[in-house]
Amino acid sequence: MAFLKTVAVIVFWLLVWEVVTVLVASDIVIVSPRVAFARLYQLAQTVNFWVSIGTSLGRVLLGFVLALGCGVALAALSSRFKIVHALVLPAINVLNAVPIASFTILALMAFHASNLSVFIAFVTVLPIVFHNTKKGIENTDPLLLEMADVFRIPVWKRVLFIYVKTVAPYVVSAASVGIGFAWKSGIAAELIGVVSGTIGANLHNARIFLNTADVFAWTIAIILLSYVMERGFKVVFKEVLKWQSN
Amino acid sequence: MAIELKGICKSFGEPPVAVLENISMTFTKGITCIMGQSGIGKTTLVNILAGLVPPDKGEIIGRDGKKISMVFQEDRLLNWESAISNVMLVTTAKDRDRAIKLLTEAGLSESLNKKAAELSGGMKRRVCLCRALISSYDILILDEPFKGLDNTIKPAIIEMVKTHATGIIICITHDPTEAEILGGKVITL
Repeated sequence: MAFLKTVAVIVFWLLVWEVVTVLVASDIVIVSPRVAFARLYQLAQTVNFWVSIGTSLGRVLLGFVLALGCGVALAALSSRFKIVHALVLPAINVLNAVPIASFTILALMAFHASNLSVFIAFVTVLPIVFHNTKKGIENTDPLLLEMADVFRIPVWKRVLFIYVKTVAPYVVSAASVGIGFAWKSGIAAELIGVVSGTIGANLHNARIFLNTADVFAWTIAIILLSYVMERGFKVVFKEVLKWQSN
Repeated sequence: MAIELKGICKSFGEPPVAVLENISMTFTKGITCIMGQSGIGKTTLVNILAGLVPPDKGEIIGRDGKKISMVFQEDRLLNWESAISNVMLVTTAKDRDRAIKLLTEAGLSESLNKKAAELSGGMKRRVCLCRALISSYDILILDEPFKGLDNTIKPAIIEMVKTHATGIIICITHDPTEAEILGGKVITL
């Protein structure tokens, strides 16, 4: 029943799309779903399509994983040392406030374009992971920490047995939100920076040559990949939480 | 070996309500039971002794450098860990056989690998006691260690404390019978 409902909703919106295409009647502004999907099918037969997807995916995932590691480490250090917190918090707040476009332009001046989406995914996800992890650490039961003090439990045991269990759900929650942000911001950065051999560059070229069918085809590819990636990570996170509760 | 409390005062709240006023006592090797009505400050006193709560006034002589082990008023177990893991948390891998022996003696041989969250209140209390006994210490503080234990197992657990506990042992209890079986000094607050 749920599957039929989903199919019905998709069919409804495809019909709306088709009607809008007929009403607008301009191939430069909008193409029909049939044309967009046919173009996606054509693109999927080319090596360039899969190379671009592989390149973008690899870089965004690298940025995401780096942000996950650094975010957790910075949150841990920041919770332990007040001076680290005082130094790190303003930087994290700046990362939160600066628009992706500004970062992309600044990064283009500093880095090689190929590293752009790695960097942008990193700066987008880092604040999310940092704040969530820090909240998790702060919510660790103080009575358990006091118990650890009384029994002189070494730091590695505190981390492994007390903090990891308490903080894991917060990190998982940050990661599941962050993965979507990393993907969208990474592609946006590739588009602004016209990083060759990436999804963003393909979108850029399609726009320059007024190839609306390509823009729609690539956009559908991005949506599908985003969906697959979020679903994939949800499975991973579910396993992590299952391990955590065992 | 002794630990001495001198002129300990402690208040809580605003305006401050005095819980302990000018308390002085000495604890020596062996068992000392602290008794008194609820809310009289027994837990505050042992928490001061353990260094968990600072006194407003007074001093603690002879505590520096001494290792403390404790059964807290709350269980403070890692609910996601097994009974044996909770005990092993406070010691090293070489003590595993000793931990199993203690838990078995406490009637928990069938529950060694059960998560703390799955244990009954009385079973959790016994895990807490095993954890406190296996840890290396000079001063053992027991804050109502037999709370929630049913009468069929309580005498055996009290005997277990008498057999395994060493050094300065301070035990809070409400029950005069428990204090009597434990033996040693009794201080009423």
